[in-house]
Amino acid sequence: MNSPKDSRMPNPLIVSGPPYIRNGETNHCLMFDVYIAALPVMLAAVLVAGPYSILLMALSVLAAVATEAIIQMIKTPGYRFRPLVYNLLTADRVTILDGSALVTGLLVAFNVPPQVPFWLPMVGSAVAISLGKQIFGGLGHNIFNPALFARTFLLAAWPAHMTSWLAPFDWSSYWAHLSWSPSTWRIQAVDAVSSATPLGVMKEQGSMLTPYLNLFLGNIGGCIGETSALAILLGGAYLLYKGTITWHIPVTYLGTVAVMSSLFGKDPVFHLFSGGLMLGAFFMATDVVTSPITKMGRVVFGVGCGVITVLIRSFGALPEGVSYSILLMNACTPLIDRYTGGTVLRREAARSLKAS
Amino acid sequence: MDGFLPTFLRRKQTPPRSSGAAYDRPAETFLNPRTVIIPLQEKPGEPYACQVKPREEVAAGQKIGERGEAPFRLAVHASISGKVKEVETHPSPQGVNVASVVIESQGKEEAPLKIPAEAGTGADLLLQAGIPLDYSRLSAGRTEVLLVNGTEFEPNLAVRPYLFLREGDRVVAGLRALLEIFSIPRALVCLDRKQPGLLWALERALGGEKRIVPCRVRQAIPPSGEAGMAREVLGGKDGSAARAAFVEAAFLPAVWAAVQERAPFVERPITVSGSAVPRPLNLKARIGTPFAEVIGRCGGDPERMTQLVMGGALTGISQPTAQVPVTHGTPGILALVSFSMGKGHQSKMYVEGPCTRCAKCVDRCPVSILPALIAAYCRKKMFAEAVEKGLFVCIDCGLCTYVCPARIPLAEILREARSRKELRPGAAGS
Repeated sequence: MNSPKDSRMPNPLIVSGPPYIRNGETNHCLMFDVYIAALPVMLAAVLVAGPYSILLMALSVLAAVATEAIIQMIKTPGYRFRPLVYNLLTADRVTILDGSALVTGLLVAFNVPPQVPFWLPMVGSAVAISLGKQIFGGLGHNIFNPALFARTFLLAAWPAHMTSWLAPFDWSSYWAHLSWSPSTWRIQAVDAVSSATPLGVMKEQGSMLTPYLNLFLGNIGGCIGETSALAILLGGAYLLYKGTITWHIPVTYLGTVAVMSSLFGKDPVFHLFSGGLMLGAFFMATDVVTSPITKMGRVVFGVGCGVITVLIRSFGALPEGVSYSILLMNACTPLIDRYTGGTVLRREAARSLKAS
Repeated sequence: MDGFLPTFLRRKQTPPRSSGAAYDRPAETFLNPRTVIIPLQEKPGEPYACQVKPREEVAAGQKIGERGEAPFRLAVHASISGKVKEVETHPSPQGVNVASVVIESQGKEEAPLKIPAEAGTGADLLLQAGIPLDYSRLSAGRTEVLLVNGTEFEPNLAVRPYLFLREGDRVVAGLRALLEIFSIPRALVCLDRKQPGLLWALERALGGEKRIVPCRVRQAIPPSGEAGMAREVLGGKDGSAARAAFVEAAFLPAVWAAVQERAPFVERPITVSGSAVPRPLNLKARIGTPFAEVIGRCGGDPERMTQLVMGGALTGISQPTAQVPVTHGTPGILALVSFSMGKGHQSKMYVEGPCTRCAKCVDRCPVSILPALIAAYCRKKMFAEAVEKGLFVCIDCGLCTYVCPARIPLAEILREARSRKELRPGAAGS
């Protein structure tokens, strides 16, 4: 071989299979997108539920990350404990940096009432990460949305804490009585007005009393993350713009709730903007791990969530049904995937087998 | 922490056009490479019988080989004039070593010889011009429609847009010649709906031609998906798709040149782009020009490249050396310089992670299969389920790997599974 190629030795070329370009996206981007989208929701939470909710969210996130780190350290054989922080950030299998624990912790905090003791969302986050996610094998393997899993766990374990609601935080009296002692962080405990959620009011009195504007802006009682529909819609629009979620689940979920509630003679606008529906439709049901992967499946998922939500709200004993509806549909996800992704394909595959 | 940075960028779900300025600029011509390496086999199992010997003088356009059975003997020509240096095995861009004729230029710039008059007319002329069409199928007379894929699936290629925008009349003339030679009633030219400029250019070139019909398709079609395109455009079930034949758009100007000027097929337009090419452009390169010379001509340094690809960034073939030649079927060259390729430099965030079922691969898949699910089956060696879910429907377009945020090499896993002997369609049928 005396060809010219031997006369000079260029850089060795890398040989690999196609494709040769990627769009640079990582799982971390998807999780971080949720954080950016949650910024308006966090702001609304602080405005509506008071400064104490900052503490709740921070502790919840901290607990989630700590639980994830501890469980992964236990799961990793031969993990070296000494250079702890360095290992946590760089070890291959300890992946707290993937951001999923951060998101789960935040969503757990969104799902507790503003007046809970500080340890409640921490316990919730620990349960969400350990029993909701890691026990199934970690990111990508869990069946149920970890945050909703934790919410139902807390609801069953501490029903009194989880169903005591407050009227929106009174910032004017807060500034009037402000002193920088730690006790003022829980100023609600002193003179907060207890109140019911709009859905609870409707369940007990059978009539809808809350003005639409309050529902839309979030000037109502409820869990710290679910009150302001405006903030959640802003965040949802960002997620849709970034392509982190697709329109299928939120649109079909909200649409089904609107249609079903008007069929039952309820006020669809009230049902859309009250309770945890907005948060559920944009931040919970769209959790990629626990929702179907086919487009048709996502539509079925959204419709199913909507039907169950309205059924629970209308005929169930509970005032709110979003979390249970999403959890129930999560359980159906493998089935939905099985029956929506493949009838045509099976025929095609059979044809391609026969063709040659 | 670099894995977080793309959060703030606009992440494309379809690859952005990287062919850049090459898109509608007139093509440059690369007349006289110092050496050409003409492979005597472009597809597996179809070698050309060599008709020249080492140290023989050849002229540009002189026939140096023939292949195929008696009525359809396809010629291959010397693309420059010079002296045959050797007839040896060389790496071809298909990734195999094949016998090739190496011709060294004597510095003379000559127009290629015309095809001699005794070559005949019609299909015989095209065969003697060396245009690789499916002659046995076209001549059988069963073809009712000629399909031309005018869409460009690959982000780094711009040959087809260039042809329709700048050489639309030649493309139409070539297509018209084919219709007449093989007496086919009509032709369909599929164009991307997102590129209306191509449609206008084609309609302008068509004039009053009624037999050639432009049709717009929803998305660009990779070459491997052309059978699916036929089903989609012609509405499959009644068998009209089976009576369609495909013609590569880049061959049509050559058909025109052969019919009009009796010119052999010795040069074709290619797109040269990539991060190692400062001046991406469309280049009319002689067949057999080594990639290294083409890249040097476009201002790139062949020694700085880290990856060299024949064809597109999504489906092309990665080359082990820069001394592979441009062939009749080479649509373009992608030369990449990547930084931090070493393992030590790799970010922890750019390694493969767990699949989060984000369904981006499903949303992008042009044939609507579930790449993530099939790849999971393949990794667990559950091949029966994988085939049932459409493993062989996959057209290997690479978009799933392009979008995967977990950086799972989905296309690679599926390709590996498809190459397994026990899964070959024939094995399952018998």
